[in-house]
Amino acid sequence: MANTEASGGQSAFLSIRNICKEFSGVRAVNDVDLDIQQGEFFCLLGGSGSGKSTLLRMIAGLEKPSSGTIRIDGQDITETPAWSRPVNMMFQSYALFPHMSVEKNIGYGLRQDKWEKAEAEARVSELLELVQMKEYGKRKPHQLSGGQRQRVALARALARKPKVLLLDEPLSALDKKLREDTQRQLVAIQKEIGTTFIMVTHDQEEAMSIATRIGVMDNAKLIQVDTPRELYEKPANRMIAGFVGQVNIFEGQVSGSGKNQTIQSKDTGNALEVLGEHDLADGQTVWVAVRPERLLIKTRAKGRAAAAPNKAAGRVTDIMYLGNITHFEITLKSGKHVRLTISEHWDEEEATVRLGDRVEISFEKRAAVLLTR
Amino acid sequence: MSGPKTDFLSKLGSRLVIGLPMFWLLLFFLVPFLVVLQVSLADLRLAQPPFTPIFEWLDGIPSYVGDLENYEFLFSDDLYIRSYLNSVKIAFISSLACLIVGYPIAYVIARADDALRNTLLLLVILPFWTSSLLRIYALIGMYSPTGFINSWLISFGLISEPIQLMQTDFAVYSGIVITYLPLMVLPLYAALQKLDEDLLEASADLGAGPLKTFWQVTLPLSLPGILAGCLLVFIPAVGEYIIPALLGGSGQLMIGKTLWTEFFNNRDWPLASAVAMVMLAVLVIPMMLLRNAQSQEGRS
Amino acid sequence: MGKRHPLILLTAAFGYAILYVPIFIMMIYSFNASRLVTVWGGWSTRWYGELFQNGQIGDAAWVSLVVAFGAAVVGTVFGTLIGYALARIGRFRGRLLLSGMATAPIVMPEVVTGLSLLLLFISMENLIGWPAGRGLTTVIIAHGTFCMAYVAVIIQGRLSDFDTSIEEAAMDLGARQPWIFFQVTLPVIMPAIIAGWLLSFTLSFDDLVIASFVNGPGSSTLPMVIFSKVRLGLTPEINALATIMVAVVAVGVIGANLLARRQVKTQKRLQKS
Repeated sequence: MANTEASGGQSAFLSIRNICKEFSGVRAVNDVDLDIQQGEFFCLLGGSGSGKSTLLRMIAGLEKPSSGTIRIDGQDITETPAWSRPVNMMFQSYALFPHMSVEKNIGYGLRQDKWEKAEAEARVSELLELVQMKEYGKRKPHQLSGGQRQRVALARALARKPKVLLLDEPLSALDKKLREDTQRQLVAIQKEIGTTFIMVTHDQEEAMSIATRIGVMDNAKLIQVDTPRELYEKPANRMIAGFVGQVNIFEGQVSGSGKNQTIQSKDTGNALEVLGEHDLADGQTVWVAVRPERLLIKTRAKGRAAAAPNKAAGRVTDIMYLGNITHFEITLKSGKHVRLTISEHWDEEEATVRLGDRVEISFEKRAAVLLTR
Repeated sequence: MSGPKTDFLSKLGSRLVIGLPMFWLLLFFLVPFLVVLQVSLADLRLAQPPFTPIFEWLDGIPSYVGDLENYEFLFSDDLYIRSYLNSVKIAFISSLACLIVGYPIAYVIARADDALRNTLLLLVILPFWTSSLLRIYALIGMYSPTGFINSWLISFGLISEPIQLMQTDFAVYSGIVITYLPLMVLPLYAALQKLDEDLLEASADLGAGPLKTFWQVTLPLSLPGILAGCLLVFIPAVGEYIIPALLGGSGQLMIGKTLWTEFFNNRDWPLASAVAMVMLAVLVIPMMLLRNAQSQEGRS
Repeated sequence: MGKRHPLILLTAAFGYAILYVPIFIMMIYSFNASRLVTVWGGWSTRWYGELFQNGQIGDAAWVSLVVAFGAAVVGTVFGTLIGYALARIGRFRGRLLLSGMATAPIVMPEVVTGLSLLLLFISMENLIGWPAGRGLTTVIIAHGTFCMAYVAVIIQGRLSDFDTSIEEAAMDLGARQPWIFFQVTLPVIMPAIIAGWLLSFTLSFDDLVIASFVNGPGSSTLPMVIFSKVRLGLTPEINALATIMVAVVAVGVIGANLLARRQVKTQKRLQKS
């Protein structure tokens, strides 16, 4: 299920096949296949305990897979020890050596690889420049701020010119403002040097704003691999739909078959219609996901039911005005709560909606995503 | 809220809390050294106590009559100088031996999982609670000519005559090692346990194998523990009496034994006091180093 | 990742072996029927019987118990005060002096401590007539002094594990200082006080060198008797005596550890629920 699209015809730069990891009988990573192309900024997204960090650590060689293979650039590295893999990792804790200066930290990997002294020095100063830490080379890690340590850790991990750079929640220790700046810097640096980045994160916003592609992990499995846009618009299941941004999910019951097949929803009190052909069985339960900003709203006269597909009647129970956008909470007749977001360019009719008003919400077919799981 | 009465009570309480032990320690720890210093400047006499006062009433004026004779004697007779040097040498070698034996133990404890770590730690601490005299005694049972090691070697036909294990430097080294090993392991363990596993992984990730990681990361970061452990062994080992008395040869000079002999056998209390003062002078730098190392440990 | 390299495990095992093998062999040979300490003559508890008949050892053991009890009380009371002062009474005049004097006895060579205290006692006797001669009192004072250093370290460590907020909470709820100490601080550090008392007791009970300097006629402690016997060679009674002493300590330390571990477990369970 995971990923076939990106591998295309030629074999991928990093190719993971059937990888499993068990810790005393418990599967932390369960049969994962993944292909990543050269130059990608790939994000592994998932909650805690989803197995994303274990997968990353297996790529780094810090955990040994229970089964499966890992190849980089055509070379099987499954059995290669961590210290001779062409990958490097940026640790969540940064793991800077406290007894070494910034320069010594960055040059550590080069010393292991027995670089010429002059070349190594040149490389270190090049990296200091890249992460804008030129003046801090002689300092010890404890003399740096959190953001500076983060940059040193990045420079150190890049020093050996790894084929793949692994980043384990690299921004989680930074405050919100600094994190957003650093995200931009990371993307800029990745573009500049063109190295393949694989980043683990639990923050969907971070993944959505950074990644070229995202792999969502849940319960030791890789559920979906897609671009951020595809993931947002075509989530594979309810978990992903809810994970990447806010979403309204309407439950429905399939009835009939073929051309006459309809989906009746108790949540909306109407039929649900979506685009495209779907192979559904009579009586099956399905869900239709609609993003809050794709819902439409208008006031409704008392007693007038909204009897049409993809429509529902309810009352406005909360309005939160945030300047450029406004959030509405609407309680449908079925008792279901729906979230709806209107941007500042709303039309006349939407502008008149007040708290407590009777309203009718609706959505277009193309705004709806059918989910079977 | 706090009335004048509470203030008075808590102030009095603090004064007592500080004052009582302060008085005790001044009287029974600091003043004794001044007495030793005073006696070391006095002369031997056949009386009770067996030393002369260093102040005397001469023409109605209290005058200082002490001298440095004892110290001059210490430095003129090479018995004492050799005792000091030999003590320092034996204490130094023993500290190294302790480090070599203790480091792997501390390393294994620090890297063990929780349940096992507790047990291994307990096994190191347990001997510290048992009498060191008895542990030395047990070692005699191993080393004596008819002891366990010799009879075992003979019964397996590896040797025909007992080998000399008692009354050797080796016996003294091993006695110091088994006596002070817990004092070496505990600070090493504390240092190694603080070592973040991520640092070792980062080192491996950056291309260093296990041995290189040990030299470049583990060892340098455990240096404070190494220093504290070595000093904790070195300082008491210099003044050790029981171990050289029971395991060492009669010709083996250690300063603790020399002091004991001067005091109990020759009853030359002024000279024994001078020996003690010089021993303190020898140990003052290691003691300050230890205090420094421990207060640094406390801060981080 | 080389964490459990066999060579490291092997050297660590060797370290444990040199700590324990001599003691185990001594314990086994304490059940030896033969008078020749190193020749195995079959199993017997004969030496335990003879040990209990030995009046000299019995008297010395009683002296040691009395001394250890007294020294542990002195050491624990003063050590707790020092630990409290250093951990809770922030700045005061003489703090450096107190903390220096409180930790120095731990590393002071025993021969120096013993000699200095003996000379002090003699000088005091000449000046003020107290202490009259040496005996139990002088040994208890000497042992109590180095015991309080260990207790102070333990108490200070325990107190620094708790921040002052529990005492501040008591103050906020209207408690006043002497009561805060007895109602809040003391119960919290009680396990450390007990540990300090037990450590003081064993340290005093095991000390040979300091006691040799400051004891008087008729107050020979157990280690002094053992030492004089050991100097003359191995004796089977000492094997038996050593076995009993090591066994008592081992049972005590392991028991205390199990108790502490169970407490930690219950605490963890309570925190979870």
